[in-house]
Amino acid sequence: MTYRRLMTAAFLLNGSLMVVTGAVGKLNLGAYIPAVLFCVYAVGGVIGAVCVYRAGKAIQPWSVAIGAMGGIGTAAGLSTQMAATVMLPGYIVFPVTSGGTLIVVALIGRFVLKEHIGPYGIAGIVAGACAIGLLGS
Amino acid sequence: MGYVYCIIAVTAYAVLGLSYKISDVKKCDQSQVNFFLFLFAGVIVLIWGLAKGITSAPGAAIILGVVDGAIVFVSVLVFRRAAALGRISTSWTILNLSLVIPVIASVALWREIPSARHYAGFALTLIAIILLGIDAGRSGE
Repeated sequence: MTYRRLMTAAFLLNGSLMVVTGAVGKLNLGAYIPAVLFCVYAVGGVIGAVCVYRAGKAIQPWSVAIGAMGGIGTAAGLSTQMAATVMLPGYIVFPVTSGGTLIVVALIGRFVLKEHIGPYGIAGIVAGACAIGLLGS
Repeated sequence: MGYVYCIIAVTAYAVLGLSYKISDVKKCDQSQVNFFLFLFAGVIVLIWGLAKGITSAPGAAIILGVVDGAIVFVSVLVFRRAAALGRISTSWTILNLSLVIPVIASVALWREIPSARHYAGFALTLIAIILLGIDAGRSGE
């Protein structure tokens, strides 16, 4: 599959995911967020375990380390974001965390991973960060 | 303290974003990375839930979690493949712009009235996608 098709699929899947996640609040299930998230990760973990078992490859230390990095990143990000909403209004927390992450990842991509970003790309990232800030506020 | 939590959240999400690119650079097995991501996240969330005293949940919460879990798994796998073909800086931006979908859905499904900020956000999302599309085309992605 081409990059554009994969990104379109990832965009639509991630958006659908947020629609389903948003239903948690709409159905007044906010108190059960940790339980919902546990189901999310448990299902992903079971499907992942089946895939790993079927592939039959030896476990790579780097895969464990990077998987742990992603897992801790997602869980820590979510829990600290929620903790922040207790102390600050959501219209500050969500734009700052979502837009901020976007800028930090772009800066690391540009200066650490040495990715080339053209003027249209830079303008797109800035517009994207502003869009997320406005939509999340 | 709230701002400190925001900084930690930004750092943690950035670590998640970079893990996609590093797994490609290190040529890791994507299934294994995915499995360990869900395993570690699941253990952390389990500890969090138990610390809050949550030992059960209504059926609707479990169904939502299961549906979400299946979508997350496919989404992570697809994005890993995309990030391997393109740049994480622009790919991560496009992925995060999908925030526009739940906002549109809340208007369509829950009859919420979008604010002027939301309209500006819709317009900027469109502009950002067009600009990133032009940039991707110029860099041969």
